[in-house]
Amino acid sequence: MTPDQQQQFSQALSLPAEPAPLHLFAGAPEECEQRFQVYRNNVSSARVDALRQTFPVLERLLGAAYFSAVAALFVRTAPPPSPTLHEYGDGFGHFLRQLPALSGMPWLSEVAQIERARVRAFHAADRQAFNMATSIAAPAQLLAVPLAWHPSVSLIRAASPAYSLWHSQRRSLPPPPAAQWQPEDVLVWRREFDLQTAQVSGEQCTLLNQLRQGLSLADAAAATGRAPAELAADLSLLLAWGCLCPA
Amino acid sequence: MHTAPLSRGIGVAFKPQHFAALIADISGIDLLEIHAENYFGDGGLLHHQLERLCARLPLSIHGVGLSLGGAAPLNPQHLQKLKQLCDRYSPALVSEHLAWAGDGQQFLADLLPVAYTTNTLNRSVDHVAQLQDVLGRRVLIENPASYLRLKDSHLREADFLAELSARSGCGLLLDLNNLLINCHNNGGTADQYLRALPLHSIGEVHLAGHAQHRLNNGRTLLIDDHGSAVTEPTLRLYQRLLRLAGSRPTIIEWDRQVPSWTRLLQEVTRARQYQRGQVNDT
Repeated sequence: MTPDQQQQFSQALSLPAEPAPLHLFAGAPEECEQRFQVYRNNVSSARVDALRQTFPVLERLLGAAYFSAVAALFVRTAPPPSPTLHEYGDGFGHFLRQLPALSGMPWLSEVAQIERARVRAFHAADRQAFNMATSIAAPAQLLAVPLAWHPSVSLIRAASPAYSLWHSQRRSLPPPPAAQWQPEDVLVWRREFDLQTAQVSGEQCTLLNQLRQGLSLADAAAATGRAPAELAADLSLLLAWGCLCPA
Repeated sequence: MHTAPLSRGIGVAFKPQHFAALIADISGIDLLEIHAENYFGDGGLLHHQLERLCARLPLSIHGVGLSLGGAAPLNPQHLQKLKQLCDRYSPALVSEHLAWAGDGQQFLADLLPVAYTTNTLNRSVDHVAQLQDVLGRRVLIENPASYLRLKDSHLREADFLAELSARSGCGLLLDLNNLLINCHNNGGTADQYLRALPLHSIGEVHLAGHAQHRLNNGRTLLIDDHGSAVTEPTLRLYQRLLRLAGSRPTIIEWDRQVPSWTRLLQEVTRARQYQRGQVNDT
């Protein structure tokens, strides 16, 4: 095939409303149309399956049939750019937010962010987490140690109780009652090979963002006006979780 | 790492859900195949599993997304990722498809048909040569399953593959399921196909199951879905190939409705009986 012919083929594969490029095929047109449909189905189902694997909680929230329908719409507007399908789907949450039928559920896009972060964490580079016992001689030295996020870490500052919603679907628990809906900050990371997802406080978020910018614990304390001992408690938790590395 | 040339043995297309059963008793298989693109991530559990398996089994890295048969230039990032993977694991075998799966703008997630023309042959030879240059090794090219004949094709698929192998120096990965599917869907016979191939160039064999799809005119199409056991006609063709060409490293592909490890091992055992000549003519 020439580049133009290949373009016609791929365009017709991605967009069901496009006619099959029958001029490229040998055989009776009606039969070629059905044969081409096999490729169309393969392309659509492989792309939708890639999204299904990344977004299992969204699939539960939307129902399998509805998820398939909106995923099929998404793959037409934003097809995967590369064969590395575990990198696909960043825009799916935003896409759902734009759909008129889902406009009353803006939290779906934040649940989508959690699920994408988990896939990124699953494939992120391996790196040894900071170990206080082996890395510093005395606890006081912790104040000056430069730290960085583990490559698997994502921090999501959601306007909705995205963590509670995600967690309730995973454990088949009731969702949080509407009266208790509050914004939640969510940390996603990998501890060795196990994916971790936790709700974190606003102060812990601030500390994480300061550490990401290369601030030491002493600098972070100075910047926020929090007592070093208070910060140290948050830092100890983050270190125990294994989501920080030596910078 | 096991990098010695392989001339025989039966393996499977690896599924992470089989890791625990496999690592507990690795003796059932002789080699393992992975899809390259699933391992393009930097780290994590998949690489950890693969490192442990590779220490004990020869590896075949099988690419599905490079679009060697496509009109667009090969994606340099994809080539580099593949090279990094090969450098990391030193596989015994590396393979890709005579197909295209993207147009430079989007990945179509299927192996799409190539027009068997002189122009496509020239371009495919260049692409395979480029791949072999980047990897610094010979690769195997797989015959694809196809549901359509392209009007421009004027070469037979087997002749195209023979010429591709002769001109680029690549070996062939002969997928016997795809061969039967193409003969059924597009015409020709398995005997004609095998006679046209340079059998000495075949470095690996794939076996898999297929599905049937009924067209409105009553005809059936065979669909390469890798969702069931290897069919009897495919095994009989395997037996014929073994008689003609001798043993080759062979992979069972069962990628959908993935069976238990025990069930998959039954498929391996059955294929091994054929490879060892322990099955009578049917």
